[in-house]
Amino acid sequence: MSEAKQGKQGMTGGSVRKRVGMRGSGRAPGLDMTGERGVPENNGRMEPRRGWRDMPVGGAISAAGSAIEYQTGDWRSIRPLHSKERCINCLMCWVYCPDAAIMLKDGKVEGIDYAHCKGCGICAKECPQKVHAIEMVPEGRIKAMEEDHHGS
Amino acid sequence: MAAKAPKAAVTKTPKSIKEINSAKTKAMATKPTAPKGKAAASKAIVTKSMATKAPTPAEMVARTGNEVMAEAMRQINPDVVAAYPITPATEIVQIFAGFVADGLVDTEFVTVESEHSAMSACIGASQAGSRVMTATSSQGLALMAEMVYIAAGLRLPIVMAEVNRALSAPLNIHCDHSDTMMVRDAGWIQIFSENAQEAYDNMIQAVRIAENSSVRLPVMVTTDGFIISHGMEGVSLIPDKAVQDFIGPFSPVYPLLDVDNPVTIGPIMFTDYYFESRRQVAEAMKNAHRVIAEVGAEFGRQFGRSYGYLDTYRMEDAEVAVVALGSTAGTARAAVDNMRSAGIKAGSVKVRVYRPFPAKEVFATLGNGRVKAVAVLDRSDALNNHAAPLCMDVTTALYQAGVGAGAGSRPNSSTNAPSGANAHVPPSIALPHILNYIYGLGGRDIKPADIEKVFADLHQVVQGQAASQPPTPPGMPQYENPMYLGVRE
Amino acid sequence: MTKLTEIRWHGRGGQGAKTAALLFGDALLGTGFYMQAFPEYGPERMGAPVKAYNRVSDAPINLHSGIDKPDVVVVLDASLMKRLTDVTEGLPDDGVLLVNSPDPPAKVRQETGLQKYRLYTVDASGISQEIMGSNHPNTPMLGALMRVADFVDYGEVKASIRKKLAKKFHGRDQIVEGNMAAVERAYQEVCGG
Repeated sequence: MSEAKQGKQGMTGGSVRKRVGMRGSGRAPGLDMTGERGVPENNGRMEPRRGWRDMPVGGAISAAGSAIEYQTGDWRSIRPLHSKERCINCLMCWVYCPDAAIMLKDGKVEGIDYAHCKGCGICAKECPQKVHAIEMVPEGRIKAMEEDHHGS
Repeated sequence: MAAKAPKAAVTKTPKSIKEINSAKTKAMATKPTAPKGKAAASKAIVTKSMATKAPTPAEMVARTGNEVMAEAMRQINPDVVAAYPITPATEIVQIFAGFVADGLVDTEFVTVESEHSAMSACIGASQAGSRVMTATSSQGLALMAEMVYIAAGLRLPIVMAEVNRALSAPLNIHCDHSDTMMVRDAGWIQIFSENAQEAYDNMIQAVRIAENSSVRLPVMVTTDGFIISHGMEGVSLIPDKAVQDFIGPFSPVYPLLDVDNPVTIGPIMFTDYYFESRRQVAEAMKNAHRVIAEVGAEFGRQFGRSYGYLDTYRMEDAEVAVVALGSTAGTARAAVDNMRSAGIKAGSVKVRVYRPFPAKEVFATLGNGRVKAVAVLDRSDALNNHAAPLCMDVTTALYQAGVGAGAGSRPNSSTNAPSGANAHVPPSIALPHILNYIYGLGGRDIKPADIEKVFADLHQVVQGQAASQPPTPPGMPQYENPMYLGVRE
Repeated sequence: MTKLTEIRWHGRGGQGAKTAALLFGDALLGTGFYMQAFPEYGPERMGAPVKAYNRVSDAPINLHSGIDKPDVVVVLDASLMKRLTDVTEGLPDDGVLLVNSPDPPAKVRQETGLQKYRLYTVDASGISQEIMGSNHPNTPMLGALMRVADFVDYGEVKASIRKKLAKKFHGRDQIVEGNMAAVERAYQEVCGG
């Protein structure tokens, strides 16, 4: 998977979101509510389990960055919503995110990788208080907001 | 909190094994431990677990294996506990630390920076003259391994709760027996618990076994990690005072804190003495075999649950049998029942005491000529391209006693035709065919269906032998030991 | 004939799936059943899917293997229904599936495409929120479970739960009463379809 071999920083937001199955953006002004995330049935595994003859020796994980295939987005109970308008692109959220879930494009914050964001809230905490470009919102409210927006 | 002062009087001259065995300290005199003679002892060797009085739910409380081991520790009220946390044993000392904080025990709880330090502190405290307990698992046991050997070599009656967990690499927190097997030669008595009730009962008995004057060896009581350690079951508890009465007060040997009788501990011994010192340890292990049965019988008389070396299930007329350690033995009983329903004369043997190994008892159960094929289930791999630990012990027990027992006894296999001096002697006792299965490494589940597959293999082996005499008929499955049960090919 | 029932709980770390299984087992022991209660351990953190199990029997339980074919599955978090294969794995077609959801079974079937199983839903989170002011669905779920599980005597097990809670929350009667009220409400409000 050639995309997996690129560093997160080098990837364009578009290719990441395409690969993890995201769609749409910016439902409400200033808020990125993209949330279509893959929920693999096989407990995060993308392939059936291998036999002992088909595994790398010593337990080595031979594909770099393969953790990206384990989609932990559905562990979340609260979600960060990022506002491009308020954002000053200091990139502190990107520095501190433990899941590398802040997506950059041309050195600016493009959005959140909701397929991997676990909702820890560190990005919202690290965003300078005066800037306040990230807000943590309960997942349940997201569904309600989406329904409101689409009138469904 | 100062350690308790030693209670027993200690003679100035170093004690020989003979002196220790015949010494009548105040503590020993109050306990009825006089051996009843060989005949009575051998009757107690093979017992059905909880046969005398199985507790009903009304008499039970709900406890996990870890909780109940901590409870036993509370009731034992050791002088010192030095321990370091490791999954899945952490809860034992964590809960116990709560007892310490709440003032429910008199224990001096020593927090240390590693398991190596934990066992070092235990050794120091035990040698100082205190009753000492600890708990660990897997990598922790590995880290303290040199001290584990030292504890036994110094003959310190330390009792350890050992939660069976796989050894790295790869890193794995789930159950297998590789950790306990790693130190099987260390000189510790090793008792495997099948469930929470046994874990509790074994911890209490361990104190008596370890501290017996003819033993003085450390004891590890094991439970299967997560399966039993974190599994909640109904357990029947014994009142505090009854536990205290059963274990009695602690009598140290050569306590360092007895400044009126100074000793030097832990010397170097050169080629002229080391061997004799180690021979003493072997003798203690030999005595342990007898003491374990005595303590188990006494426990049964007092509390209604007797313990021995083995638990046998439907072995009276069994033709095929499985042998296992720990919780798998319970699952095996379910498989035995299913096989019996299908008309197969199946039975199972649970080995409770792995060290010292009950060789005679294993032979008595499996080498009687009725049992035609045995599958030994090992939850660890000795990686010797030959046989896993329990299988090695079972096979050796059968062969040594079997070859010596009757003229011409030989393994019941075409490939082992008698030769040399015995070539002309017809077989009188047929030893069973042995299959070795390694299973459950890293917590891989073992189900009744897996064990039923083993019984099917055993049955096939037996049929092959019954069908025709040696040499091996063509088409008979060749079993290359050890086999790996449940691994993905 | 020994009757053995096997139950699997699905929850998210922090919701009390393990506690529910342990409390249920403890309560059952108090009414004369032999039982086992054990969790499944994996990467642990708040929100990660977790499983817990119970075995209940009228005879001593020998099995120490995992539970592959549960008779009853309890789902503490409706969002886990997205992992339908996971949640229904091993459940026989006529097995009981009890879900913490404000929606009636018909709606859950519609949304998930679920056709088999005896499906029951109860708004355990809602009940817990209303009575105790917090989202702790595990005790009300016990009430619903007892309604749909035909092998337990509700009165006896309820009394046993009360006893265990009273011991755990010694002196804090309000918490015990709140939990018991939640148990009773869930027992009444669980519906099948």
